[in-house]
Formats: sequence, structure tokens, C-alpha cells
Amino acid sequence: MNHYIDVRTQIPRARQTINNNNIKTETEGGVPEWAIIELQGLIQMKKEDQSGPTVVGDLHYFSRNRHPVLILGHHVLNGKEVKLEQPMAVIEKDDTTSYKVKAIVKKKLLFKSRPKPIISNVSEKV
Amino acid sequence: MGDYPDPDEEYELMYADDLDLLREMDDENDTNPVRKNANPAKRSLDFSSPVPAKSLAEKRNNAENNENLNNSLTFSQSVQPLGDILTQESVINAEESTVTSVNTSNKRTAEDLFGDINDIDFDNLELPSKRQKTDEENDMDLINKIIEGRKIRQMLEEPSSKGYIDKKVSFNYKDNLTRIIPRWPFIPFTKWDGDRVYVRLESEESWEDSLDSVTEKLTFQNSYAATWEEARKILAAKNEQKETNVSNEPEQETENDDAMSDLWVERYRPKSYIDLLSEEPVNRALLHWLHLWDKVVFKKDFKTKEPQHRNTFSKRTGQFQLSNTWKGKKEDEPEIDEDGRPHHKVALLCGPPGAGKTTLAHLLARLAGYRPVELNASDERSTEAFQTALQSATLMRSVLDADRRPNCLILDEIDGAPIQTVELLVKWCTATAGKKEDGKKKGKSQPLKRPVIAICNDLYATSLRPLRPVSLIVTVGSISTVRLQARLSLVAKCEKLRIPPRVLMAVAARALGDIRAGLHVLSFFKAKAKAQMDINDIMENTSIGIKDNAKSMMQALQAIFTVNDADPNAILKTIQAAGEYDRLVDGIFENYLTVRSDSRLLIASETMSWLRLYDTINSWTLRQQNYSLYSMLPICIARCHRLLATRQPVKLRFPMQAQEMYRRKTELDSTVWSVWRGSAASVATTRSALRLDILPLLPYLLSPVLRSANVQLCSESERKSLGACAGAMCDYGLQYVQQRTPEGLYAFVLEPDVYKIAFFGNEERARPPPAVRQAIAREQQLEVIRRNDEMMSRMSSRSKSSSQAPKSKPTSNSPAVEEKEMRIPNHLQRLQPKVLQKSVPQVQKDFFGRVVPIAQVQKQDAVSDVISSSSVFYQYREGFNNAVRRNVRMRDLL
Repeated sequence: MNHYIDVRTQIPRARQTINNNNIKTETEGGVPEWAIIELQGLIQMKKEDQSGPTVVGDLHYFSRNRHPVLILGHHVLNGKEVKLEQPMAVIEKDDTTSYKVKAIVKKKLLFKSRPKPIISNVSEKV
Repeated sequence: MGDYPDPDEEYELMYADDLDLLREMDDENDTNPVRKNANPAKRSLDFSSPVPAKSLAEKRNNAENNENLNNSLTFSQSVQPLGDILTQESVINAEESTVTSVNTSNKRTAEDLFGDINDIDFDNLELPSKRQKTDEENDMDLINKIIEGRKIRQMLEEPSSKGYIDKKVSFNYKDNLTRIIPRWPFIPFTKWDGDRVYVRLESEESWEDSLDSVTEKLTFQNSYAATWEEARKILAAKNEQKETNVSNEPEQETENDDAMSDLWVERYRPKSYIDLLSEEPVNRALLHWLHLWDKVVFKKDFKTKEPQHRNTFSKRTGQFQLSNTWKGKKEDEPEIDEDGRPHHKVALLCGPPGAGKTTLAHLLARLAGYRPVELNASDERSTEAFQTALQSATLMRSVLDADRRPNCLILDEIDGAPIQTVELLVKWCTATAGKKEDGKKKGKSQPLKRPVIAICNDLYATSLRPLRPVSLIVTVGSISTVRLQARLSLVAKCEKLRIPPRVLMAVAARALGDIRAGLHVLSFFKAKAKAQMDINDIMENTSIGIKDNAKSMMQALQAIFTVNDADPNAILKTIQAAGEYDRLVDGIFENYLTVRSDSRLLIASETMSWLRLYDTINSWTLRQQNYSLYSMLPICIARCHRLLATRQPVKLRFPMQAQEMYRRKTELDSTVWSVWRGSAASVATTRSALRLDILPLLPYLLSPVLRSANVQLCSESERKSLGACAGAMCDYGLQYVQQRTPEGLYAFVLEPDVYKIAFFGNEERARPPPAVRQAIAREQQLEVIRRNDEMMSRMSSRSKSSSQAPKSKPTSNSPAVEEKEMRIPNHLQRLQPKVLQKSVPQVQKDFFGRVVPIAQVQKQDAVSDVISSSSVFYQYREGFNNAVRRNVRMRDLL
């Protein structure tokens, strides 16, 4: 809860801390199509010293309405798919003169609602 | 001359007078007029006696005198008529020879005297010798008168001697009855024995005249002769002494009657503008305001006249004349509104009672051509009645056209009217002005079109508050004493009251500008039928001419201290009438030492004994509520009067001291009470001990002698005394309080002020100077703090000791520590942060009481929860992120 309070006081910096992550799919042309994941919040690590890729969370889709669900730590985030106005390409610089399109981004998954906590291990003694 | 009857007859006639008188004196019983031997006796006398010419002449003279001085019969004249006559008789007898000459002279004098008697008509007498008879009759009349005068004189001398009728008969029968045939007209009678008697026939007028004159004189003077004469004498003496006052008596009686019918205030109310006693500007202001109504009330006739009035008015003051042409127009605007009515719809006359406000209003309203309609306090003044009165005053307009005077409503004593009524009047005046436009359409039926004059005594009465701004306020001042005196003297002259000017001056001064009161005083004097008014009357009767409010007590007090010679027992009545015995006794007590010179204090001691008796009775009466002895109280006061009354005028003081002293006593009592209640328990005593033993000495303790106000510079002893002072102040709950003086400075005032109790009145000397007071105040405050600390420590130690008491004996060390702790004053103690006890991790035990190792417990938890143990967590940021968008450049990403 304390964290929430802190976040609230730092609203002006919110836009800087939004992380964009990509989800990989493939198009028909063999070019993979990625999606941007936009979170309103910060993904933080308990231990900063960890290096290398880590599992952030699990991304699921509700089967009935195709809404994305992200389980991040002990939070569940409900989001939605938003089509980008302008598609973007993820390109990679092969040489000094050529770029290679690695993927195309046409949509993003927007998680802007308040996350719901997952309460587990409820103590029996309470 | 020749027409006269023969000398015998004449002699007989002439002699008859004397004979009459003689007979009356000699033989009063001879009342029978028709005695037979009367005539022969006369005859004989006739020859024997000569002509009593001189006596006749004298008698005539006397008669003339009598005629002239009918009312002023002098005693000297009528001293001894009898003697006169007797001497005359003898003289006549001696001078027989001169009969004829005297007789002729007598005739001549008669002719001279009665020469113009011819015109008397005797119509009903058909006799040939008419003229002669008339002469003769005149003569007879004259003689009758002479006789009558004689008789009157006689009667005056011996008033109770005779009845009137006897004389009347006796003086007539000689002339009017004869046995020979007379020359004058007659009626013959035949007696039973054959004798013939001729009775004289007289004309009715002459007879009645003579009869009237005779009867008048006789009837009036006959019965009251002696008293009349005495009264005359007394009156004459009075006349000489006070010639001024004699003539009042009959008039007063007559005028008292009509004095009953109308008041003098009514009778001498001013008839014209000049008669008004109030001041000229006042009269003029009101009259001017009344004329402002002329435009509305009298249509255009007076509208043109009115500026002319103003012109003449302004011409008198030279300054106005220049700007007259344009200023006149300008002035019209504020004074007259567009409706043609004056700006002020109501004139409010105010002034003291009796100054002539009502009279002024009535007279000026009449002068301005109105019919004053008065509505005063005796009329009903509810709003309904008032409204009807107002409406009737306006509805008279139709009658105005029929050559009647328009009404002018005069509301007398409006300050006594209920406020709703006044508000109604104000609304009526102002609202009609507002409704003017509507009213014009309706044919001008609404607006107030008649002047309304309101009269009040108190201009600032609350009920008049709404009326004041809308009305023209005319203040009628009270009349100056000089004018009042002049008017009073005029009235006194009209009433034929002779009052010396100084008395009038006193009356006028006493009336205090109240003409009505002055007139009432004059009327009162006249009604009292006192012919003369003395200055002493006014001085003695203090009640006369003064409105008798609030004077009765002082009057009775004055009566107590003055000797009343006229009625020594009147004092009891005066005291009982005055009523306020307590005040009277106060007055006696305040004045009894100064009234009479009493070097050995005998009078004082006796007065005191009576006053003590009064006090005893009075207090007993009040305590027992038994009023059986209440009637003794005035008697005590009357006894004081016996002791204290003097003849010289005494200047008495109004009894104020008793109440003043009582007030001071309660004040001091309350001070003692507050000291007693405020004093600490250590010094608590009874109140009387406090009052008698402590408070008189306390001020000396409270004023320490310090060389300087700075306590630091004081010596040890001075500081000690200052400390004692502060301690005493704390003990007795005294303190110096800063108070703002009227000059704006702040001064230290002792509260409660024991100096007033200790020194009766001359306490200012004993007070410490202001600087010292300040030092004392500071020291006292410090002392208060010190004591509070001490009190607190005592309290805490006591509580400690009480808590330690059940315990075992304290160690020698602990008291010192506690002492140290105690030393910290309460206000210096700080709150210590509470030490949190370290939370010992709870040891988990299983069912059998064995301790479960922590690692095992934690391990269980970790296994069970994958999600919460993940190293990544999410921190949500609230707010909207779609509000701000920023272009992200490629190079930033790279």
C-alpha cells in the first residue's frame, strides 16, 4: 500500500516509467509481428543485482473476449488490445548501410487499470 | 305768587312738619290720622305760633343736602335734630313779627327752587286749578322729602324705635285729609256721624314717585341703619388706608360666577397675531408653512399672493433683496413639491407644557383661513379613529366649495399617541405623495390636501421617530419671564386684580415660562377672594404656582422646621399628608444640628431620643409586620417639629446622605466579603475579626518602604519587606490589577481595595507610589508561582509517601533519588519517549508444547507461496498516462 501512495505522488513522472515490451507473433510474410506491452507502472526487482533475462510474469488471454491478462508478481493486471495508429517496424542494423526488419508492430497491449493483488498463503492463525 | 293758598293753610302745612316731628317725639302712640281734635289743635297752634320760616329754610337746606347726600348722611348732621327743632320753635315764637316777610321769602325760595316744575303733567286730573295744584303738590313733595329726611335722621339716631308704616301714614294724613273743602283735588267721604272728610286726590305718577323715593330710602336704611352706618365708617377708614382695594368687593362676587364658567386661559387666549407670546420667528415659521398650503387649499387665489408675501418678507432683510428674483424660484422647489403642496406635510410643534403651542396652532390656523380641528389625548387615538379623523379632515373639501373654511387638523399631544397611529399619519402623508400619478388619473382624490399640525412636548419620543424626518419641526420655547410678567399684569388689570409688580414677578418666575400656570395662579388668587396678594403669600405658600410634583416631601420638611403660629396643630396633618416618614426622618436627621443654635446639645439629644423612638417603632413594625403602632410615627416627627421649629427661614438640605451612606456601606461590605472569601485557609478568621483586627493594619504591611522601585537595588531588609507584602497579598487574595484610567494611562489598582476599609476616605496618602506598586505586583506574581510550586511538590510528595506507606521501609538511598526527581518542577519536566520493548519472535509450539523450529515454519510458508516469493513485482502508478504524449526520436532509442 505504501508503494501506491508513493506512486500517486509521482504522477508527473509516470510516462517515463512506462515500459514497452514486445510480444512475438508472426505475420504471413514470415516477418514476425510483435506487440507492445504498455504498463502504467513500474516493474521492479526485489534483488537489483540479478543480471540476465528474468521472467517477469505470465501473459494470458481470456478465451471469451480475447483480453490480455498479465500476472506480474503477486498482481493480476487486466488489459486490452489497442491498434496502433501507425504501425512500427523493429529494425536491426546489419551493416553500416543496411537494416534488417526484425518485426512489425501493429498493436499494443495496454494495461492501465489498477492491478489486483493475488492473496495466497492466508495465515490460518489470523 | 297769588296762586298760593291762603296763609292759614300754608302755615298749617308748614307747621305740620314740625308738629309731626314733635308729636313723634312726644307722643308716639298718636297714630290715628283722622282725629277730630287734631285740626282744631292745629288751628290753635296756627294762630299762636308764628311762621317757622327759618326752620323751613333750614329744613330745605337740609333737604337739599339730604337729596344730594342721600348715601352720605353724616353723623354730625343728625346728632340732635330734636334740639334744633326746639330751639327753632322758641325762636319762631319770639319772632312773630317777621312772619310775612319770611313767608314771602319762603315763597320766593320755593319758586326759585321749583320754578321749572310746570311741565309736570296731570292729565288725569280735570281740575281747573291744575297748575296751582301741581305747584302745591311739588311743594308737598318737597316737604315730604324734608320730613322724610328728618325721619331718617331720627331713625338713624334711634333705629329700632319705629315701624315704617306708622310714619308713612302719619306724614300723609295731614296733607291729604281735611274737613273743609280743599282747593286741591279731592274725594269726599261721609263718615258714619255725618261728618265729611275730603281726601286728597293725587296723580298716580307723583304719588308713586314720592312713594318710591320714600320707600327706597326708608326700607333700605331703616332696617340696617346702624350697621350701615358702622359699615360706612369702617369702609371709610379702610378707604383711607387701602384705597386700592375697596372697589373690588362687589365685582369679585359678580365675576366669580363667570370665572367658574371659563378658564382664564380661555378668556385671555390671544385674539390676534400681535397677542401671541411666543417668539416672532416661531410664529412666522408656522404661518409661512401654513401659507404654503394656500396653493392647494385655496386654489390659485393665494398662490399669487404668496410670493408677494415672500418678497416683502425678504425685503426686510436687505441681503435677500438682491437675489430675490431667482432665489425665490429656487426656494420654492424644496418647499413645495410638484403637487403644489409644501415639502413638509406636517408641522411638528414642540415645546414645554404651557408655552402656548396649542394656542399658537389654533390662532395661526384661523389666521391662515382654516378651521382648526383638534384631536388630542382625550380623544380616542386608535388607528381606526385616527383614520376617520384624517379622512374627515380631507373630506371637508366639498364643503369648502360651499363657502366654508377648510379644515386644519391639529393633533395635540401626539407624543402620547400609539406608535401605530403616528406611523399611519406618516404613511398617509408620504404614501399619498407617492400615489400622486395614480391620483391624478382618479381625479386627485387621494393626496393630503390639508395642513396637519402636530403638537408634542417631547420631540424625541420614540413614537415620533418616524414623524420627525417628514415634518417641519418648529420649536416653541418657553416664554421669557419679562414677557410673561407683562402679560400677567395685563390680565390682572383686566380682572381688576391689584397685584404689586413684585408679586407678579414672583408668579412669573415661578411659572417658569408657563403662561398657563401663571394664569392659573392668578385665577387661583382671585378665586380665593383674597383682595390683596402679598409677596409673603407666594413665599409662604410654596406650593402655589409650582407644579406640585416631588415637592410635597420637602414642603413637609420645611413645615417641620418652621413655626406655624396660625395653626400649631397643622403639622401632624402635613406630615401625614406627605407620607414618606422615612424620608422625613432622614431630612430631620440631616438638618437637626444646623437648624437651631444648640450649644449644650439639649435639643439635639431630645431630638435624638424621639428619632430613636421612631426607629424602634418603625423597625418593630417592619419586623413584626404589625402596623398597629404605625400611626405613632408621625407623632414622633411632630414632636421633633416642636423641638426644632424656628421662625427664621431655614435652608434645608434634601435628605440624600442616608441613601448615600447605605450605598457606601454595601460597597465596603462587599469588599470585606471578597477579602474574606479570597483569603487563604492559613489566615482564615471570622469576618468581624478580619474587619476589625486585620484590615485596618493590612495597608501598612502592603506599603513597604523601598528606596527605588528596582528590586535589584534594594537592600536585604527592603526585599524582605517586599516579600512579606507579597506574601500577605497572596494570603489575603489581593492583587494589583492594571486598569485604564480616563486619561488613558494604565495604573495598578489593588483588588479588592482594602485601603477603603482601613481608611475612611483619606486612603490615598497611604497607598504606595505607582512604581512601587508595579514592583509589588511583580513580586506578588512571583510569589504566586513560588507557592504553586511548593503546593505541587507537597502534593506529589504526599502522594508518593502515601503510595510508599504500605510498602516496607524505604531504603536510605531511594529517598534521595526521589528527592532529586521531585526537585524538578512540574513545568520543567519533559515528556520522555516511551521505550518500546523489543518484540521477541513468538516461539511456535506444536500441540504437545514442543518448540517448532523457525526455519521449518518459514520453509513451509515459502513452499506454499510461489507467487509472493517471485523476485519481480509491479508498482502501479495512478493517474492518466494518455494526457501527455511526447515524440520519441529514434536516436533516443538507439
